Amino acid sequence: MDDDPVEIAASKKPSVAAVVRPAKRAQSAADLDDDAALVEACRRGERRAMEALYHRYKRRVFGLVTRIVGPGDSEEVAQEVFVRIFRGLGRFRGDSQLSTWIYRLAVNASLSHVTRRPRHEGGDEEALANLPAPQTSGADPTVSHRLERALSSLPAGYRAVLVLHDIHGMNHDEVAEILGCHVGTSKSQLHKARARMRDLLGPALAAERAAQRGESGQDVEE
Amino acid sequence: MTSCRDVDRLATAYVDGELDDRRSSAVRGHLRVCASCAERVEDEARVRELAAGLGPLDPPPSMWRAIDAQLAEAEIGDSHRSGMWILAQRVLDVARGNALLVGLASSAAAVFLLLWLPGGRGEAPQRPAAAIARAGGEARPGPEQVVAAATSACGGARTHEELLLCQTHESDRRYVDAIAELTRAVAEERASWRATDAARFDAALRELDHAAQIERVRLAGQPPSAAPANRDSLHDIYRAQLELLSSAVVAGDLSGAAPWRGAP
Repeated sequence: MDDDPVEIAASKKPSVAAVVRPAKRAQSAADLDDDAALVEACRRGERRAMEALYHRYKRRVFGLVTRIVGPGDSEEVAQEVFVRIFRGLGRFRGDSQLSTWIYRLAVNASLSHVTRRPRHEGGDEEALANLPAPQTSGADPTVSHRLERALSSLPAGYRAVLVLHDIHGMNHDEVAEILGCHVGTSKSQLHKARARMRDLLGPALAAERAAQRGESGQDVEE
Repeated sequence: MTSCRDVDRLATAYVDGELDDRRSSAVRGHLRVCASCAERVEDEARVRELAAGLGPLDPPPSMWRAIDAQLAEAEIGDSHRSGMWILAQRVLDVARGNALLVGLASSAAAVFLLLWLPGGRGEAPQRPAAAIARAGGEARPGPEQVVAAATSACGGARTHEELLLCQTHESDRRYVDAIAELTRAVAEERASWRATDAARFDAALRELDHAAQIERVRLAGQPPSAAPANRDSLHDIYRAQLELLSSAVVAGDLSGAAPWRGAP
């Protein structure tokens, strides 16, 4: 056996050592072809193509916008993003992926909306409570809702980086391209965003950890 | 030796699997002997894991209809716009694709504007070399060009007084129409501006509006035949407004391209 004892011991701390990376959505050549064909058809004003493009990106755009501007204004801003997409497709030259270009429009519209309209404390509480629980196996919906609430209280810049990197599974190169910043800035913003999230979620995470330890202790006794 | 401070600094990269093997192993070694750092990293990993589980969200089913309605409204609006506006947008699109073209696009749009203003849409350009020189910022378009265009539109005047009155109205109308056209184009662009740029632009435009209003009040009681050159100062203000607006239409969201913008 060539198992490394150090690695085996480390694996007993699954939440530290066995960190699961968010599933990356690999863009296949077929996807790119489809995007290019869709863009061309949309430029020609083909309604079905426009609808297809909308359905392809609606969940990603709406999710991104909702997490940056908050659920109260998300529909208005997401509509604005899609209008900008369709009105601006003539400017898309394929230098970047279509998804990157769309994300950039969505982030810019969301951040400028947040800048224009200061958030009201607690104004989104009800809307946040109505967000659907994430479909993750074993995730406590209460903790997830707390996460949404904590996310909504981050500064907009931190929120944008955390949403793109952790929720949408982008790497720092992609985040930097979308936000128009350096890769190092994206990394440091994420570091600060996560630190703030840990502070905000501290008691919930501690309770979760204690509950897990209690369960594993019971297992040992049994 | 890896310290708690090192772990704090490296925790995000560690959790994201971005550290090389040696540094990753050093962090892991510290976590074995430091309970507080282990909890800190565990929390970071949990935040990341929970965030990854949030995923995209479904928009309301009515959203596509609302977008389609907004697109229809915008496209119907486009159908009412002039060829000048569409041309300016095309220049803008080209400029957006290449920062080096910004200066060229600004000059081109200024030439379009200057040729269009005195000559009217569809007429042969007048003195293009002079217009190009002006587009470079050397001098503003002379009032004689506006007067010449207005004169050609006032061929039916029977007396000198009528001719002057008609020319005055024609030249004013051309300036005001051009300002209104570009103001509409600017309104489309401003959504993409930074708030500070928009505020600076608004302040500059307000100042010019105010100056034009004062001039119009001053000229209101004077017959055009008294001193036609009196309107030069008003037309100078109109031209300054046009320069400001056209720079915004052409420069769009390209920071630093327009004189009223701050440093990028």
